[in-house]
Amino acid sequence: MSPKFWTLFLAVPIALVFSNSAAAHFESGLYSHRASDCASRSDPITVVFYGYATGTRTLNHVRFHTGWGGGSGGGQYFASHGICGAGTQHAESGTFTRYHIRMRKTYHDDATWGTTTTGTPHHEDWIDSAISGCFPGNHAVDKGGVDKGGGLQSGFDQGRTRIYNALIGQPGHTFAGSVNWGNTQEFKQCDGDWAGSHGTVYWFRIPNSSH
Amino acid sequence: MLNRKVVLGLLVGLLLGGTVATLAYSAAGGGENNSFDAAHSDLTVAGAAAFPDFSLYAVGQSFEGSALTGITRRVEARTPPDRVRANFVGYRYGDCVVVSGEACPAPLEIQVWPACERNLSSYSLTPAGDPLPSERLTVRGVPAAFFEGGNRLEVYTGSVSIVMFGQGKPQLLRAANALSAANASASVRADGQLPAPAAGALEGKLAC
Repeated sequence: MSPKFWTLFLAVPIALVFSNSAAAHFESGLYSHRASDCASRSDPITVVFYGYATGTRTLNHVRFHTGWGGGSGGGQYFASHGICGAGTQHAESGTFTRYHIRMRKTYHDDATWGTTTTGTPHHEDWIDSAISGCFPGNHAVDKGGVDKGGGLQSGFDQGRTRIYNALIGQPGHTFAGSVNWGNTQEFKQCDGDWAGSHGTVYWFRIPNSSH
Repeated sequence: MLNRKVVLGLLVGLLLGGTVATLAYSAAGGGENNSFDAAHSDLTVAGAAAFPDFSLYAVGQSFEGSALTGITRRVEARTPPDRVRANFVGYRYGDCVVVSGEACPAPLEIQVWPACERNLSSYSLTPAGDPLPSERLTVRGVPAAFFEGGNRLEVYTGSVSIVMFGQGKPQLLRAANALSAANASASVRADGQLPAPAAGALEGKLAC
């Protein structure tokens, strides 16, 4: 092969990557997925962190303001800009019945919103082995229902609210607003209940510093 | 003492109301099938047929081999700063298997929302107002839109938004063509077309 061929072979893909990055806009799937095909929906995305929201920095702020534990990895897959990748961060308030969030940075930055990370916070109950679908013990996101004045919400809506209450008013964590993605599909949990989001997504800024 | 005419009127009204609900119930395919998971449903088929709050549409007792497996009712609290809440009746067709605690969706889910709470103008991708990606089309004579890469089809008719989650455009279009009235206040025209959206419904100007 000629040197010219190799120059083109290497330069064209690199140029495409950088031109895509420079022109990229925020883009994300609306759910996390069970498998790496990103065609097996499992949880609705209900929060977007923006600004300097790398995965690691976002995890740092979520953990600091919620008091949750967590770390890297955490399962499930997220799609953005045509790329399907594994969740890279997780945080949770405990081992059994708890709040839990999985997160992944979107593939490209956005000119307005900077680096963005999406997340699927939720409240889930620990279900023991008495229910066969959860054997030998597993988590089930709270189903929704008919509110009778007690403020009933699904576990996905509770999770979003928990993140809101942790970050609202905190320095550097500007709340850009809530938008409606309508990602309200319901998902069967291991206890047979069905849970979904009401479709709203909260946008919170992550500053260029860590705790 | 109550006026006899008032009492008689109430009795007639109840009788007529029951008849209409029964007709809608029959149109929806009667009672539950063997696959219906009553333990994880909020409404029975009969209960949905008598549902009074807004018009309901579904695809009967089964769709392309997937039985009606459950009916969900969600009316949840609106928590600030939310402008929306869950308020829908959902029909699930088919089932899925939860593996290692990982949740999964039904092959087809049809949610019916009041248009005053969910409509074509409800959505945006970002707080700056960037539009949520969609593809507009007309289904059975009324406005409709695909979202989520073709895995969600919304059909706007009368005072409701029919939100269908499934497995791609062809399946969802077939399901939309199979929609029928599932309670007394819902209707389909003689030519198979759905009623036009109520004035202001698409623009989010319909009052609840």
